[in-house]
Amino acid sequence: MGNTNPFSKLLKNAALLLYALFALFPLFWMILISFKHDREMFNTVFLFHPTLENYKVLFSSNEYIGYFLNNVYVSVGAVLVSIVVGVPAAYALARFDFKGKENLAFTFLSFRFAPELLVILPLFLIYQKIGLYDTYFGLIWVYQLISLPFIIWILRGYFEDISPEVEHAGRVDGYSWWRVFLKIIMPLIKPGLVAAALLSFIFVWNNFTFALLLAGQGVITTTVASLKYISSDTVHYGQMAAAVTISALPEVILALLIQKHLVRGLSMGAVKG
Amino acid sequence: MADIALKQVTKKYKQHTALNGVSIDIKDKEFFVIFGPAGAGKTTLLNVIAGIAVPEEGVVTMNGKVVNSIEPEDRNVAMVFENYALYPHMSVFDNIASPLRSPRYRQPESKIKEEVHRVAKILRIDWLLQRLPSELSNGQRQRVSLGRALVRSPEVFLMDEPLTHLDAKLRHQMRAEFKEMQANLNTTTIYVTHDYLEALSLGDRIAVLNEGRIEQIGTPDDIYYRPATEFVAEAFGEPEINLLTAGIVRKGGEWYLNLLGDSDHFTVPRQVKSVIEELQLETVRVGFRPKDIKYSFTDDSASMLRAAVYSFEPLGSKAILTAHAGGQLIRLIAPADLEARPDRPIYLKFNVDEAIFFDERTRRFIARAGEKGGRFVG
Amino acid sequence: MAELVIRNLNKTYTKQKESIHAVKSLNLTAKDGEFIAFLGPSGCGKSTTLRMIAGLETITSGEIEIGGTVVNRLHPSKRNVGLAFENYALYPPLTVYENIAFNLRARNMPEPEIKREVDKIAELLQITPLLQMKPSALSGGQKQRVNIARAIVRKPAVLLLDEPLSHLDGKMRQSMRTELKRLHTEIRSTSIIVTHDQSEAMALADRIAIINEGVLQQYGTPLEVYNHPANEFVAGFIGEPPMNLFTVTAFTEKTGRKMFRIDGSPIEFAVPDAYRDRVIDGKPYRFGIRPGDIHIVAGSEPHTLRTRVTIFENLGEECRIHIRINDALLSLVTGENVFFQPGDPICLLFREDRIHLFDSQNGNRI
Repeated sequence: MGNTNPFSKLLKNAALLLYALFALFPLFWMILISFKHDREMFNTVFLFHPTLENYKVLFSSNEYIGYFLNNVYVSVGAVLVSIVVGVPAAYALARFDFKGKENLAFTFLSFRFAPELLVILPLFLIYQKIGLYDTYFGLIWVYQLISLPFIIWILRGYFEDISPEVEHAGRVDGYSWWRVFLKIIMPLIKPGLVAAALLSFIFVWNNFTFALLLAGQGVITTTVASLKYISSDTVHYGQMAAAVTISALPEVILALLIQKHLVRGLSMGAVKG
Repeated sequence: MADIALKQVTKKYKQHTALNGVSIDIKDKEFFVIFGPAGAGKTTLLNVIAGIAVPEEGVVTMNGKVVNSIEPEDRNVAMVFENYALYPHMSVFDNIASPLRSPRYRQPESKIKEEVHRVAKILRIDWLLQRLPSELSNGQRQRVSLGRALVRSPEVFLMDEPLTHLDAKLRHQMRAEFKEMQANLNTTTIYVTHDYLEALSLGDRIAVLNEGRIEQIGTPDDIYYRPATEFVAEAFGEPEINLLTAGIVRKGGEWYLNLLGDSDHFTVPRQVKSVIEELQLETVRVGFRPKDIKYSFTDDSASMLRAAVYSFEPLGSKAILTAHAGGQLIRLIAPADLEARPDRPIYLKFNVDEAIFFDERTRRFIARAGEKGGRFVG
Repeated sequence: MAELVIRNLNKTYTKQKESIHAVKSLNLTAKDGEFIAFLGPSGCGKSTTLRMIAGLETITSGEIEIGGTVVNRLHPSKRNVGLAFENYALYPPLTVYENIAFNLRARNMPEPEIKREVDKIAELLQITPLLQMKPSALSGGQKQRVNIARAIVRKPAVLLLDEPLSHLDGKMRQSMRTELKRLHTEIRSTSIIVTHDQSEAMALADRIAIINEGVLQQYGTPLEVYNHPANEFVAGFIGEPPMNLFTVTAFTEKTGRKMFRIDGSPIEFAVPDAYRDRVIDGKPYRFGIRPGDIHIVAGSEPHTLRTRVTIFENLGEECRIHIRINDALLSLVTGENVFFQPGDPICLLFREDRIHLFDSQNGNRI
């Protein structure tokens, strides 16, 4: 039942506005300081002389671009591997009845429960031993802990929503299982796949702990790179903010591009029927 | 065009046995109905024939060849699913065209267009071809799923309760239209239903399935007039057949049935007597169809049994009258405008010559009086 | 035991910014002890009306009176109504006995009295052996019995049943229907059942209120609504198999005889005497005849319709014959032993006193 009282509408909008200010302020502040000189950094007034100095410093060497690309390689790689592994896994969890199925599904989910710091020490030692420390592959692999559960759990709901009879109909119509999967199942799970891939991309992209501790000088990602602006005597907040702003850009652009998919994809997977 | 045979087919899902030693022979061009209540294993049976489910035991043959290990896409069967199983992201046209675009049954695009339009016209959905399944009513979806099966000429049509999800009025009409179309199909068809009216109306032969086992296979005539078990007798007919337990009372040369305490008036029919004698039965179960019980509000003759009106349910053209006698409820058909107040005394006349007799221990058919039942086969 | 009066009842609400008028000026009286059915397709407003009577839905305008008291502003628990809803679940952790006793305990009835009441109701509904069981152990039909027992144990002035049988399978539904009818003759409380199944309404109710799009179409006994439908909607909704309905146009033959022609087909037949004076030439009408009111006759009789059989069905108890007319089928039912092949000629006679004629514009009975 919709409440059409104009006063309550006003109140509702005011409350929403207030919350939006509250939620977006840190982001706004970050962008603000990325345009400030270091000397104005600690002024809390909003009036200042905007400068692109911080961005210029950032791009004066190829270093930052390298970090950015590192993050792209690692994140995209991690998501791609997760899709290749997760889609069949989600399908199997949705369709087949086998022993320990629910336990297995829960185990995947539990990767998301464990604090990263809990596993980091043994992982560090193992990575050192087997030579995965400070490699692209090492990070991609460990990132599966983050991206795989997402893809599996969201897509499982999607697969369960497709009645098995639709697959049977495809088989009887003369398509092999593979063709049914590509022609009929894949288009139906696409919104979920896009949403899950994007979400896991964001989480992987933002990851700090694994990137800091399981990689050294070889594979520095943007999140770890922001530490570089803390030197022994001073902190270059302006440059740090600029670096972080740049590194947040891909996520923002991606999210805006597939916003429609994202909302639909997440709500559809969650609310069945 | 195919004969299909199942030999001792058993299919298990974990502990649950869905099919238990089922053997069926389906002749070429036959319209074969599989009838049974929910959970009887009907859909599993279709899936076994389609190749979607693989039986643990037994063989499925098509035209004499064992097909157990052949994939569904290579069996050349067409199937209509209970929930229609349309492809939600494709238009009606693309749904119907789907089999003709598959690697197995591929046709040139011009031919596909022609065929889809032909089928859509027969099913009266040609004005819906550009729509998505989500924009259709249930009746229209049902026609699309039928169209997808009819668009090619398979060895066999498998139809899983295609009319179930339609409302009563639409079902009445669609059943008739189905029957009209059936005459032109000329292809072996296996039709699954839990609606006895569909089974009687459409089937050349009917297999009655219960808990994974075959109760009876026969023509509609056999099933209705000579049900093999009480289960079959109860499943066909609405209101349900009245089954009464009756002792055999021998008085001199005559044998009487002890029906609801009256053992003087119901002579065991001659044909039935010999069978009972052979089996040495003391008690039998007697089945009376509701329309074979007459009633009166006055005690006209000695052979009438006194009962009381239990409830009276008018249904427009007729009414179901439930009477209470000897601790048992008896259903019969009456005109809708009858004045039948509850508890009013009523006198029932059972027509033993139309009764069906069952063995009291096994609940299996033993005999019926008269040679009734010629009318299903013209 | 009470009379229920509904006066000028309206219900409007907004859903997704659209204003919906769910119940429109409903007037209706259920006499003390009467069994009333609200019948209509889904979304017609019948459940909303029931929920307003129960007090689960607010009333936009109008009055509901139970036993002489206007209950508009009374809390549901004060209205003295018993509810058995289609999805009104039993309390799973309680036994059947405790479920039925729940309402009585809520109003502090002494325990021995509760036991007496519950036992009495349990016997009436034949669930005595189930009293110590948990709901999860019951079948669908048994659950529904317990559900009804729980509703009637408090001796409500009005018993409200919302689709109580629609979740049961065919056989169970039929036997529960018989039991429900019998139950009403024993408890004799004013009862209202909401259903979309016309056979359920016909079988159970003393009077049926047929509702479509929030508007009461007809209120009458089962025989009245079956034999004298007030409009085309009621005619098409009541009866199984459904009434045959065709658009016909009247004209006068050279001989002076008034005739109907079914639109788009060459089929013609005489206008029944009763309608002769009221039918205007060239005007379209909606013509209705029930499948049971068409007789198969020898060709020699007057007023017959000569045609060919399209489909013949033998259904055991009865035979159905269908004749294709344009996109529709003319169906008839006969209990006699007949046999036809598709294409066989057949002569039909419409029972003149059973013909229904409706205005082609507003659908009202002529």
